[in-house]
Amino acid sequence: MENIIETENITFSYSEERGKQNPALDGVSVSVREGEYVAILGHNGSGKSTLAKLLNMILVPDSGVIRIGSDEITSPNFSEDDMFRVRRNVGMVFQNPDNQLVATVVEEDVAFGPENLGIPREEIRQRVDAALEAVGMTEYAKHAPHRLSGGQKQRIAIAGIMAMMPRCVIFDEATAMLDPAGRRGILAIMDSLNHEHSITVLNITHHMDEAARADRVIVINDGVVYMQGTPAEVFARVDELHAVGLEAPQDTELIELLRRMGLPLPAGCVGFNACVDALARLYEGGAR
Amino acid sequence: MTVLKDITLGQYFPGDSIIHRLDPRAKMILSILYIVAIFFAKNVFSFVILTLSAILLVLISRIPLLTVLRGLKPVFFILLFTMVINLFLTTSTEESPLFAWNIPVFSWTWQITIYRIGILRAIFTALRVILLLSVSSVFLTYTTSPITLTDSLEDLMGPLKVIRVPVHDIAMIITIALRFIPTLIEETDKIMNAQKARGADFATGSLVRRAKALIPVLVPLFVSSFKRADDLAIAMECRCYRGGEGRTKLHKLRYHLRDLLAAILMVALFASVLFVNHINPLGIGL
Repeated sequence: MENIIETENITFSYSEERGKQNPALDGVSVSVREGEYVAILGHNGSGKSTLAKLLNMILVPDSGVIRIGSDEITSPNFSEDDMFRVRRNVGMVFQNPDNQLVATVVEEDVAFGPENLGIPREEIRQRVDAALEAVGMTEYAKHAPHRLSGGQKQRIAIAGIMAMMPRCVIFDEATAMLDPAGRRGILAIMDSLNHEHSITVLNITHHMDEAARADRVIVINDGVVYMQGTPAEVFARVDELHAVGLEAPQDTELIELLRRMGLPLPAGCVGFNACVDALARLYEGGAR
Repeated sequence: MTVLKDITLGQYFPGDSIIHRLDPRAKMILSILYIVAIFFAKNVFSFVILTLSAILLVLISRIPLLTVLRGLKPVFFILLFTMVINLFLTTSTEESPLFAWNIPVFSWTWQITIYRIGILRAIFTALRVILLLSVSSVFLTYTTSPITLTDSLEDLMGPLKVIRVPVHDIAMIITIALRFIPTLIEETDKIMNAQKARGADFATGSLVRRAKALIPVLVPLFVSSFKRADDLAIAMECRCYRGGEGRTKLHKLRYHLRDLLAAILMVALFASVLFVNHINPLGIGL
């Protein structure tokens, strides 16, 4: 598969006098293949959200190259029309569910994106219905957003992005303000976006268990790519994660600690079931 | 503090009456016609016609009459005031006063006179305000959702685009304001509770004191509103918003036969008001 997102050595600094302060991003090169499910991990202030904003052209890098599909969005002759093409291909779901809903009726809000794109009315109708169906909010189509829970609002926000039919959706800490139930719902939708709708998903998060669901994990620390690999590869390096203030998911970490105590356990167990299986095998082996 | 949360702008009553189903643009035009008719009305008969049609309208819309009347509560004192002013300050050279009291106030006498025309004016003015408010709120707020109202505003103001009035932008601003009113009310509530938990007192003390107590509520509210506005602007840009240019709409407003019929009825009402103004068989009028 070809790359849908590619960054080459990008730097970005928030301060006016560049170079004086620590840059938020200092030479980041990452690439995401079409259809991939990638988690970007990092503690607060690591630069992970800055990366997301650069990919959606909310911010412009100081140097380096960003390519979205075949468009080089950092090129100087990149026009505004090109920008809209990029944005319709790369949707973004933000942290605060309240601050991204525009309309006073759910279905109107979902229609907002397609309306901006100038899609014919009949098609908007179909897209809105399909998007609401995909996030399981069909029955709320006529509701007012402020009456919904945080998780429900976030689903509407996702539906609003889906209705634009992007190739890639970036979740910028989209679960950070939700309760556990709301979070589980959103994660399930992320999975289904990737698996059923074959949309590239980029989940920017500091929850390890969310990262464990991805195909690949990229850890950002102090504006540089600190580690990347499959969740199993990354979470096996418990010490390196600790060094930058991150922790592997608790189940993975438990297995890893037991393994270091000398128990015959496999390295890099990711996911609840895998961990339980590993422990069960160990137990059976010990009993025998 | 559920009081704050219950405030909704416009008090839309969802329903399926013929009034609900009228095109919002038609309802706007109908309201304007009715309001103009109210100001043309000059005698008892025209007011009877207008009042009866208003009651009919409320009945058809299936909004409880009591609700409509309750909606007049905020203007009650203004009503009372205008009635009193009209009653006592109207003078006429053509007729003799119905009542005249002379009240001695120290060295001079204060004369209160009430003319027949004053009573009529007081009643008519009050009726005008009542009819104006109740009919326009039945048409526009009770039976029309704010969002369709905004849409129709955008549509009706469409011709103003020629003289560079940013019609779409105005409509978008109103939509966003409507969207965020409940959110901000909730937020105010939260901040007030947070300040109360720190010992703030909003309920006692002089007016100045209470107003001052609101400063620690307003400052965080403003700060967070700006943050929200910023977030929302970014979210809108990410969803490819670039103003009204080249935008399509999920819901398009369409006139139906019922809108035409309603308009004909309203014109008929208007005509009958004008007609009755002239005949005035009982001679009761201004």
